[in-house]
Amino acid sequence: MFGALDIAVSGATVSRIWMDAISDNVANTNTVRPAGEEPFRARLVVAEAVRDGDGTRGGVRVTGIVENEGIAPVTYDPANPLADENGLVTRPVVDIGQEMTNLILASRSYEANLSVVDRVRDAYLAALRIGQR
Amino acid sequence: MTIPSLFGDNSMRAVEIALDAVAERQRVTSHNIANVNTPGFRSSRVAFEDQLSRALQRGDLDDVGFSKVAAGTPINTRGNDVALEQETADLIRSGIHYEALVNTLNHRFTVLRTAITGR
Repeated sequence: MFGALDIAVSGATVSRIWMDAISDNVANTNTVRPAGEEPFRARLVVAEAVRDGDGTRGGVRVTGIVENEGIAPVTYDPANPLADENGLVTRPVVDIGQEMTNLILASRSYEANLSVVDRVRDAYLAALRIGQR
Repeated sequence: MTIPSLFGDNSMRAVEIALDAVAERQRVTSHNIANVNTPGFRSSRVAFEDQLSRALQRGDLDDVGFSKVAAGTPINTRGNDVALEQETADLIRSGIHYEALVNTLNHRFTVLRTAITGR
């Protein structure tokens, strides 16, 4: 009976998981490692639409977290305590512009799903008023 | 409790059991939300629908209650497993459920009063 409510909550949950991953990426936007080591890689959340057995739709869920497999930039920074003998460090694989754009998308979709919850709650409350004087 | 026998079935008793269980569900949900920042906290749920449904099929509602079970949601970055969106939705759901049950009771009592007073 409360299908619309569960679906909106699934959307808000996935948006929140996305926001968690984005803030982790943004917090690590300057996490360098010594050259040659594996860099910090931004985390991407993979989500898919939920389908019931009979094909009816039922919201969204997270199916996994993957890392950005891009090439790690190696930069010359001899003053950095992590630099190797050539003065090179490995910078993180994080695209800060993309992350900030994703943050806007994730937070807006979180708010949109919560406003769906509000509307659906008001609709169910109206159903309780049927037949009352 | 004599009201059920006036109606000849178990429906009023089922509504009473559901009222107790849904009230407990609201309390447990509030407790989960209060602990949203508590490290190590594990959230619970109240289960009663399956028990009540089986008891109604048997026709015997004497020993039906509700039970508190672990929610089993994934652990989050705060060290607990409170899923705030789901708990808020549970509050909404159980609030509407409780009001619907109260409306059912009121409706039954109105029918009874009409039968007794003839008005």
